[in-house]
Amino acid sequence: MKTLGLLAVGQSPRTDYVPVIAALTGPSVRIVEKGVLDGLDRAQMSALAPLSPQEHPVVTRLADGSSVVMSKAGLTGLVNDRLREFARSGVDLAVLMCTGVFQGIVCPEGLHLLSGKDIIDGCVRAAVPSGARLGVLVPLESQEAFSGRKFSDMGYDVVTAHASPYGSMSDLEKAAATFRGCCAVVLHCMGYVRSHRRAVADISGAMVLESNALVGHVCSELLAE
Amino acid sequence: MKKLGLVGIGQTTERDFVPVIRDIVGKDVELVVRGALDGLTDVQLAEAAAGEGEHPVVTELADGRSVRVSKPRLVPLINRVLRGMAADGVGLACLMCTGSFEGLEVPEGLTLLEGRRVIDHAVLAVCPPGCRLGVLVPLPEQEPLSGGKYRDMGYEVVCGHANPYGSREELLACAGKFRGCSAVVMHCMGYVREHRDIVARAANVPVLEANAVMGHLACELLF
Repeated sequence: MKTLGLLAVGQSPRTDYVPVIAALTGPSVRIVEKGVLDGLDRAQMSALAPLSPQEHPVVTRLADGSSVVMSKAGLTGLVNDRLREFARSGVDLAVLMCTGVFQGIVCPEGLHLLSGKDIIDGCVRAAVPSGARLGVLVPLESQEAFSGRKFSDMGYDVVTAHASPYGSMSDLEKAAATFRGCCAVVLHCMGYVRSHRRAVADISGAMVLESNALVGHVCSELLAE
Repeated sequence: MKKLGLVGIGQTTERDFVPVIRDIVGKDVELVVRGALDGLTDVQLAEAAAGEGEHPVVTELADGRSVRVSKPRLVPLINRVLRGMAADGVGLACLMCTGSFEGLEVPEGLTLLEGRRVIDHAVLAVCPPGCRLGVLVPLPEQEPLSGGKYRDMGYEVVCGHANPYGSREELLACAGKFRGCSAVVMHCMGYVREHRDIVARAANVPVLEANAVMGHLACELLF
C-alpha cells in the first residue's frame, strides 16, 4: 500500500476535499494529512496575518470549519517544517495543497513533492487552448488581480470573479453567472469541492476544472500499482 | 449518457488505450472510438504513407500491421473524424497521439484534448523544469525530436526507445537507463499499463502513461 501525504495550508483534517481525493485514489492508497497551522492557537495565527493590503494573501480553513486569511511569506517556515515531517515518516508522494505560489519551499531529500499550483496550471494548459476565454474563480476579491494575471500571461482571455468556498452558496452562484460564455472555468482554490463545481458548471454552462480533484487524478495515476 | 470521443490516428481497434481509458472514466461514459485511417483502402493507405525524409507517425491498422503515416496527409483525415463526432453529439474528444499536428479544425461545440498538449503539461505538472526526465519513445529516430522538445522545456533529458508492439526484454533493457530520473514520460499512446509497470519497477520512478493521463483529464471534465 502506498502513502499519499497531503499538506493543507490551514489545519487538518480537511473534511471538505480529502473525501474527493480519496474517492479518486481508491482503497490502495493511504492518505495522511498535515496542516501548516496544526497546533497553532489564535494568537499565533494572528501574528501570521498579511502585513499590508498590497500582499497577495491566502485564505484557508481551520479544523473547526472556520477560515482565516494568512500571509504566504509568514507560512514558508512552517510549510518546510511539515515537509520534513513527511520525509521522516516515509510518505511515497506529498502534495502542497494550495494553488498559490510559495517562495522558499525546500523539498527534503528523498521526498517526492508535487505542487498544487503546478498541477492546476498544467491541467488548465492541457485542457484549454491558448486564446480561449477562461473564467478564474478565487475566494477573495484581493486575489483576483494576481490570479487573473497569471492566466492572462499564459495567453487566456480571462474573466475573474470571487466567492469564498467557506462562504454562502448564493455568493458563489452570483460569481458563476459572470462566467457565461467562457470556454472553461478554473476553481482556483483547493477549498472548492464537488458541490461548488456543479453549481458553477450548471450556471455558467462552461467546462469546470476543480483543483483538488485534479490533484486526486494525478496522484491516483502516479501511485497506481 | 455522457459521450467521450477517442480519435486514434490509425484504425479503430479495442487494443491499446481503449481498455485503459474505459477503466478510468467508468461505466457512466460512452466511448465513441474512431480512427483517422478507418475505412481507407490499401491504395488510400499507400497515398497517406510518410515519404522519404519525413518525420513519420507510427500507428496500427485493424489487422495489426504497423504503418508509418505522413502527418500533413493525416490532418484532413483527423478533421473528417472530428466533424463526424461533432455531428454525432460528442462534446469532448481526445486526439490519441503525442505528436503535434498543424491545421486541425475543431468543429463548433466540440472540445478537443490534444495528446501532445496534455502530456507536455502533465509533465510540467508533476516535475519542474531542471529535473532529470526520462523520455521513452517507440523508435530510435524519434529520440532527437521528442528529447529535444523536453530539453527546450528546460529538462535534463534521458532518452530511450522500445516499441510498444515489441518485446518485454527490449523495454526492460531500456527502462534501466531511467534510474535516477525524477519521472519518466512514455511518449506514445501505444504504451499501456503493463509497460508502465515494467518501467516503474525497473527504474523506480513515477511514470506518466500518456493515454491514462488523457483518461484522467477527460474523466474530470465530464464529471
